[in-house]
Amino acid sequence: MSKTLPIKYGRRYKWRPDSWQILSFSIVFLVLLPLISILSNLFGPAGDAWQHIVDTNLLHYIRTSALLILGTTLLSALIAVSSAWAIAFYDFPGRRFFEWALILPLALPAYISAYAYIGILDYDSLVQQLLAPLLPLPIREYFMSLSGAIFIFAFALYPYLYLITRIAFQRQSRTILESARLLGHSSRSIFWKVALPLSRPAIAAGLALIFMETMNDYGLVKYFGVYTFTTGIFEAWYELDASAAATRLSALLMLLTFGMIGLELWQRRQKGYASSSNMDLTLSRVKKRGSKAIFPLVVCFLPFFFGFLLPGTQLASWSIGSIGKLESEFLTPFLNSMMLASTTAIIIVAVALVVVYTTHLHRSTEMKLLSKISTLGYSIPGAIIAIGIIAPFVYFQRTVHEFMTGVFGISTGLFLSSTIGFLLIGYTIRFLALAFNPLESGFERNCRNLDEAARILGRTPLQALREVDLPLLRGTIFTAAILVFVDVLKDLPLTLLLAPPNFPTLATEAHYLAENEVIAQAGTIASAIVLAGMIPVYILNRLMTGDLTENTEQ
Amino acid sequence: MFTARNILLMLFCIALLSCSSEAPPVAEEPVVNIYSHRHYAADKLLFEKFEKETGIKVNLTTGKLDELIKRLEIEGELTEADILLSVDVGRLHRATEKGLLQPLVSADLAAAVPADLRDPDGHWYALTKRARIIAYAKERVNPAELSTYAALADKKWKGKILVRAASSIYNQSLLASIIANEGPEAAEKWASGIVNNMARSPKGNDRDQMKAVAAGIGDLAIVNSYYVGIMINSDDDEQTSAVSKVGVFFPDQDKNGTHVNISGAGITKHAKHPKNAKKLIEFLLSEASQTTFATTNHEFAVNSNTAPPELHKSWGEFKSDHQALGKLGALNEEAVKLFDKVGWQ
Repeated sequence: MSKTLPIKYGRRYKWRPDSWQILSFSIVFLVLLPLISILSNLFGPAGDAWQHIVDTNLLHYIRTSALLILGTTLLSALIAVSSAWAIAFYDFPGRRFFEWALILPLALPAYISAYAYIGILDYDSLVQQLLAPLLPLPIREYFMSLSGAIFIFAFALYPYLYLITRIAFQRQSRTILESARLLGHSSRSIFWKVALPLSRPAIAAGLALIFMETMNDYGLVKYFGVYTFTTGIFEAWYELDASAAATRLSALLMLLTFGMIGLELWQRRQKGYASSSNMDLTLSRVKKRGSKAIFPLVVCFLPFFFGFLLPGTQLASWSIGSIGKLESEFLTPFLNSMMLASTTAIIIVAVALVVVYTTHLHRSTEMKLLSKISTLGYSIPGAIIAIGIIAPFVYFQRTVHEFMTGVFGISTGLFLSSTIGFLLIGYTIRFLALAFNPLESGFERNCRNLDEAARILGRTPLQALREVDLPLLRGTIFTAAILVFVDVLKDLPLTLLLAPPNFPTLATEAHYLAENEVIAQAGTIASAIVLAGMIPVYILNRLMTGDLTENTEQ
Repeated sequence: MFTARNILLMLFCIALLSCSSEAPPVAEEPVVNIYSHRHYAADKLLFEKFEKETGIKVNLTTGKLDELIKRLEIEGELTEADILLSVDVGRLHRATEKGLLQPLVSADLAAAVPADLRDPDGHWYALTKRARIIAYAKERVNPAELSTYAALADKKWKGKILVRAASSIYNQSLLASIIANEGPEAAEKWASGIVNNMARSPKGNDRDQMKAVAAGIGDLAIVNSYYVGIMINSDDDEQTSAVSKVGVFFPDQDKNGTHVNISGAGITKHAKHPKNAKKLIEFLLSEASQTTFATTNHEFAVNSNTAPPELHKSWGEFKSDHQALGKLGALNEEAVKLFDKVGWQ
């Protein structure tokens, strides 16, 4: 956390800042709406459903969730930090390939990866035949468990952490690291004593994303017989029809998330982590050849193999087997998905930019806090958020409808609900956190002094944003856009509930085919998701490495 | 004021941009809007056929039933849904209780659907039936050893029983039917007996349970009948070979009959196209459509004039428990709580 400057710049430009602030507050309010609408159930009568959950399963949910979170974050941290370290600090054969190959699991939804693994480890699989003499039960039985879920989540989600950590490592000031080296520290000791502690905010941010992604999953854990908090939320909300009890569970979950983030912020409250602005001074990589290259190679190969290559190969083999048999249409869902993902990415980046820039302009703590809170919704299961979105928007449409019929005699009905606009608003609310975090840190890192200079030279905030910040943030903006793009591509719960009728996407088609257990065909659609996601992931990597080289050349 | 105008403008812009110029619903355009939990090839086929025959466009929103009911509830009188298509009688009951469905009176439908497979007031009609059967390992179990659901709780089957999680609506409705038929105490005893007999903690779906029987993880699986049909007709050798090792047994033939649940449809209270909705429901209950459901999706037809397909013939006639159907909805919550109580995850 960097220290705030003593001068409050915003106060000088009275009329301008106001419209920025108004816009930002409206956006944050919009994002907070579903949370408010969910939490408004909190004070309703909890009924005996709450007592029932406390009496029976609550402890079990807490224990399983804790184990799942602990396992997933530890394993993904191990995977992501070690591979990011190898990529950032070593030069070894295959480095350039792994640099982007390590991001690829981002394109493979966890639930699809789970299906692929079950295919690989199935009762009649080759793996099973090999392992049969060694294990009392088929391998599949061991895999569909808490440990299996941890494995899937960690290998599917580690790229979030890898991306952030790699940048953090690469941007660490050469001066510090060189000094450490000159002082006689080995690579290992630099890693533990300098690089890792310095990257702590980045690692914490990445882990928070992984934490929230794991907690909002419902389908995979249910299929694996792992009963988490989310299971409880769904049981309360739907099966017991007790929204107050479900809300209490969601609130508990949010509190937990908030507590974890708060603890981390509090822990590092007084420590400065501002990275050096001298990005031209990146550390030269240590050459590793021959047997010395084994460590970085292994550390990079394993995540790529288990996170992408192995499940991807299974999907590909299914696709080849089911060519020509595809029940569902392919082109429409593909185009729908691409349209949704790219439109959402543009909207979210624009919206996030407004909020972040306003915070930046005003050095406003309240704004910062509000926007942090609004990202919390990311930890609540998508299906619950979707209901939280529907309620206020129907209320809004009803108000408009009543006004229009009353005054003009025109019935507007649910003019929004069955349009793509509704789904886009839903996505924006849900995925804002994804774009918000990178943009926020991007501003902190790059733009502080420069746009202030522009402002002093008489530019309006908008001009300063356009002429100074945007060009500087190009890489960050694309990163944010692509993270959103890939996540929309994979999204299921929101799309299922908010999409207009007759509007299949790749994710929903894959889901239905898998649910009806036409797994091989689901594999074909899933491969399309992966392919569609791979392109932006590749661009993402080019941009990020390009972004760095640009800076080095300056 | 500026803020409000801003938000309004923003929302309107987004709406206008994305709206495929969908005019507000005027009474009885040639359109019918469905909220459905079902997403099957059979349904798609039938909807396409309906569109061709009547010129009425079918707009399908698919999703999880509970979420769709919630959405219907929130949307109230403004909803665009005309039909709610459910895969569970309990949810239809819940929707009726919440006042989300309207009665449909039709002599044709009354003739096509047996009285115990529709709501007495016509709020919903069954479209198909699914039976909760016992799939046994042909190699290890003699079907003569099988009799009732109750007998599965016997110590004899310790470590042999495979069944999915309590969150499965079909398990909930099975337990609800046991509560209805034998009372809550017997039901609790049964559920805890099954938990003791489980070969593994519940995971996977119905087909996974049958595959586990074939792989020897357990001997008996409690599954839905139509999954057996889907596996038999699968392109996947693994599934066909697994299902070939499994026999189908209809329990409780000497008692109330095998537990069945239905997939059914009702017209929403605030339907804007009730006539089209009625037409569609009648169409889905016609003999031709019923045959499609039975042959393509392997569900049992409810229209008694429909000739059963070969697969169903090979299973023979069976007695199904229609009596309990009307009570399942009211008992669902109790069943969910019972599962939690006995530790059936």
